[in-house]
Amino acid sequence: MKNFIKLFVILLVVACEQEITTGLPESEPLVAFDAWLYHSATPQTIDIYTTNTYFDSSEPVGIGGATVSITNVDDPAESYSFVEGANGQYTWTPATPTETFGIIGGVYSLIINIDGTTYESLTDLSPVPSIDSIYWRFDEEDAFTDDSYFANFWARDLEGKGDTYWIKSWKNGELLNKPDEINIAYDAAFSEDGDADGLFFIQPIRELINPFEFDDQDVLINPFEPGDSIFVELNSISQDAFFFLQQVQIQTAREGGFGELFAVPLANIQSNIFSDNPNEKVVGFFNISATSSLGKLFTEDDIRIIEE
Amino acid sequence: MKIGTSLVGVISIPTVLTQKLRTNLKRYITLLTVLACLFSNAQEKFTINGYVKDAANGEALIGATVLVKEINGGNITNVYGFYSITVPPGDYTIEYRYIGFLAQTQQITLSSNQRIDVELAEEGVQLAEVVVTAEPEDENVSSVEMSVSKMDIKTINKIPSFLGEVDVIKSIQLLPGVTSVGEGASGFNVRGGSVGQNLVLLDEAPVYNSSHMLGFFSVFNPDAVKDVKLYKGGIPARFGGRLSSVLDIRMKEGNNKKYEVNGGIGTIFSRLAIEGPIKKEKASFIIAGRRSYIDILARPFTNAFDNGAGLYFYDLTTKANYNISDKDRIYLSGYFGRDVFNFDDRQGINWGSKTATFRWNHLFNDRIFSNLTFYLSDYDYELAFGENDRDKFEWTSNITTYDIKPELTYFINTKNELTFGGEALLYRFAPADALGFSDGEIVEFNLPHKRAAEYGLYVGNQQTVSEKLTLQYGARLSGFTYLGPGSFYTFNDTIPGLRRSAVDVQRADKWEPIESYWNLEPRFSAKYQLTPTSSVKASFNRTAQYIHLVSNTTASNPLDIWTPSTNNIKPQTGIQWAAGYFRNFRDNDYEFSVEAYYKRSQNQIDYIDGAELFINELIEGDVLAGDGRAYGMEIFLKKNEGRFNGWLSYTLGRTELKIDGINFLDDLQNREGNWYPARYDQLHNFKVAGFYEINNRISLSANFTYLTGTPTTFPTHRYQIEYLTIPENSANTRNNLRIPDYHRLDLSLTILGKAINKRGKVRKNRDTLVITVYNVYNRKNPFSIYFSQGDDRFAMDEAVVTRANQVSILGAFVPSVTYNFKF
Repeated sequence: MKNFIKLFVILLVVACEQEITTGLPESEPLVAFDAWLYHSATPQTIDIYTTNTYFDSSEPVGIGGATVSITNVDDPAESYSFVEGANGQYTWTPATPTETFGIIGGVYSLIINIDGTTYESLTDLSPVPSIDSIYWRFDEEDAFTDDSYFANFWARDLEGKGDTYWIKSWKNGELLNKPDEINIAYDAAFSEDGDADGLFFIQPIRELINPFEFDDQDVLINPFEPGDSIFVELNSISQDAFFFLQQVQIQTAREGGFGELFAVPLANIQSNIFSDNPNEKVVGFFNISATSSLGKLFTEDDIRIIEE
Repeated sequence: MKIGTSLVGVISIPTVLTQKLRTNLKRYITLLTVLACLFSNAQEKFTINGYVKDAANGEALIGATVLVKEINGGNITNVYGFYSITVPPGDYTIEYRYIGFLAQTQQITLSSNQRIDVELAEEGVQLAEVVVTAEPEDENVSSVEMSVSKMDIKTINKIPSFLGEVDVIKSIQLLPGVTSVGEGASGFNVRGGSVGQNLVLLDEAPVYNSSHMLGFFSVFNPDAVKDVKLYKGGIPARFGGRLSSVLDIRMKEGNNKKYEVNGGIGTIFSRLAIEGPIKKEKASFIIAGRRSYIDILARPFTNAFDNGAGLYFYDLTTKANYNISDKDRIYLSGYFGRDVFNFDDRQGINWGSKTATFRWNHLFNDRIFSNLTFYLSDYDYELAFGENDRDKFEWTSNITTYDIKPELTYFINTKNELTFGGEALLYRFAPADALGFSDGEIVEFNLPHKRAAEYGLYVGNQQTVSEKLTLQYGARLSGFTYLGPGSFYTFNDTIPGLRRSAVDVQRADKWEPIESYWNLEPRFSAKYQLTPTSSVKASFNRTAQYIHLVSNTTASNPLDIWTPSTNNIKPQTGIQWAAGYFRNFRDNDYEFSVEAYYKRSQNQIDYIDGAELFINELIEGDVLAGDGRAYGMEIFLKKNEGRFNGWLSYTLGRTELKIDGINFLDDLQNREGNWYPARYDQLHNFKVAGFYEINNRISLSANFTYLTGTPTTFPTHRYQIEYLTIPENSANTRNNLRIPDYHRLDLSLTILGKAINKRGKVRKNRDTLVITVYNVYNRKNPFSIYFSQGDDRFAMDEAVVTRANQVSILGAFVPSVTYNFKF
């Protein structure tokens, strides 16, 4: 789709856009939770704050005085309590260097209490397959690209339908964190109906770990040159988190220009955290990921020829 | 209502349908006989009938007036140019009139049935042998039709359009009550209806996507179009299946006197049309084609197309007819067109429509005209992605329709014209047939194909009650059956606006009815003549729509799919009331009308937040239904004659939706919806079209459009998960603000080639040069405003800046030159 729109733009060269200043409708702020945690032996932090207005990029105001705990639903003895820090940050710190947050296969409940209101959520901690290898695919120069090398990671989706993943990547230590770089998978493909259980992640997912950036002439900049490094992280996420990120991608990765013809209207994204006050809406998400990763320095030996 | 289970089986449904049709036809014939007795009286009467045609090329004239002066009554020719008038024996003066043509008068002594076929000559093309008078038409005032916009191809040809191309859909958007959400949007909106609520007919076959190049051009080749009529209200009983409007496009039959070649060389595409007699005065044909060639023109300047990339569209429109006898005539027409966007030899998208229509006109007797139509219409698109054969993704989507439509018109007397008929449609939906390869491993995921049948039976009468009062009334009984084979689901109930999950799945066999719906759709229009130059009119209609255009994007686009009503998705229904005042001035030189309308509709579909509309077998769980309302006023002033002519059109209108789960504000528990403006709600819609003939060869035309900005949803707040910054509308509103207003001026200059060559002889071929400037004052008209964090990557310790961007699809003035020829 991206290329299709690009071609259209190149040939018509009439679509244009400009940044504008506009007022926003007045509305009450909401309580927000960022409870995106990892199955790891490092401190885990939950942020609780009130939302900023849309154009306000300052640090949001944290909410203090909350009690925060996460408990294994099947084993109440496995419980993690979070200690309040500065500006609405609540942190769990491993007691020993090897103590890991969560057990794979566990179902966890998050319970937060703020001034007598209780907020609850559930998630499961799923296993993650390992990344077998990373290769680069050579793509010959054409109208839209110069000679380019695309990194591909090779991993196979776990057996059984409904595994969901978030793949993050770093080029030369820099995280690819743009909205259109969100790379998620349902089994080995994009969606449930993809029916790709147990396969290698499909090609677009394998290749979305590359930075896709364009120069002034709208030509793709070669993502990798020998000497560059890549680091890929494969994270298991809950199915709810998959749908959440899918929505985040739709709402934040806005193509602009001609892409607006295919854009959906702005919509709110359903949180998996609920207040016991039925008249209160909150935003945010609770998820615990297990992670596998692989890094590689790109040399000419890592080019894999794919037969056409 | 469920059709009896006895109907299950492969053959039984069609059999039952034809049987139904047959019994119903029988019933109608009985009714007819009764009616015939009712309307006949003791006195013996005779019928004058025949066809009214264009003298230059033998094309039937649609809507020509046939007036019997002595009784001040008559008939209007139907879409095939046929008329029939039954009067007592005597001497009569019959006048034949058609706008832009010289009227003809015939004196007859009627003592038996008479067939009078008439050919009218265009104004300025004098024919010596007939008595002619030019008299402007008063149809605006005298016809019972209201909320109808007609445009003949001559007017359409004068209107400058994008890149100098004459365009049917762009032209009707200059009329009151018709708008679009912006450049590049497919389709059009009528009186607060969505794009999918318009029935767009090309020679009676519905066209599911009327756009080329997204929404920049329409698929109707002006060289092959004869007549365009848009019903915005007061829709006659013979049309059904869509809620809002009917755009009835009739193709030319082809010159049956001599060969003619029309063509044009434009900036973006070229056209060529050939028409002529197959057998003089008996059979003729037209074949018209277009192809865009920006890719061919660009090839020397860019290597973008070397690897198989392409960007073009083409279409072919063709028709043939054969006059078998005085009583029988057959027509065969077809359209085939495709848009192709390939970005290399294995990746791209293409889409297109196909229609084929067979029609048979038969005169049962002097007063019963019949037409039998069979058509097939198909729309499909294909997407292909992937770098190589081991890793690729291919996806096709398609809708196919077959329809059989018999219709009879009984010209009872000068006061009554009865039309009745039926239709039976069969739909096949293939929402997604997809094939994926991952490193050589195949993944196939086809969404089940769906089948459905739709039927309609209707009767309508146009009755001249008195000299002043004319009525048009009728009813349509429509039905729809969602058919097997396939799985059908039962969904759980949840808070409106959240995804519903399937709790039960059942299997239906081939042709097994899963769910049926029936609707009675009364239709009524009345005209009361106040004075010879003024009238008031009122109309009411109920309409039902059984198939739905699924579109959640800002504008409708070629990837939208059609889906049937199912056990979970109910048919849309709507009513409309309209009333108006019509007045002509200065010998019909000026036409004026003001109309008010009020519409209510049920089961308007919308989608949950985060709806998955592509490749989703459980799409019904993501669909919401609610109510719609639209009301407004349309003012139209038109100058018909003279060197300076044109029109002003203004619509003041509101279009709102109320759907549980959307715009629920602080009602978090029940999420009951509140009214919100639809995406295509535009309060003010003002258009001017002006034409000025500087001299016999040079004419200037201009059009101006002003539209209130369309509503859109703004975020109020933002929050962060990991490093992702997410917008939130904390008040749960929909379409809470508007984008800036839209306005644009286009100009065009038409220079006619010399009619006489250097040696003083009349040139056989004629040509015109059309110079057009679109968006003269270079306004960056907004299409949408979107919110994002911008294209740059943020450092992880840096604050993410979010901002608003305004997009213009055509943010520049666009000049163009087109050369048209005819010989």
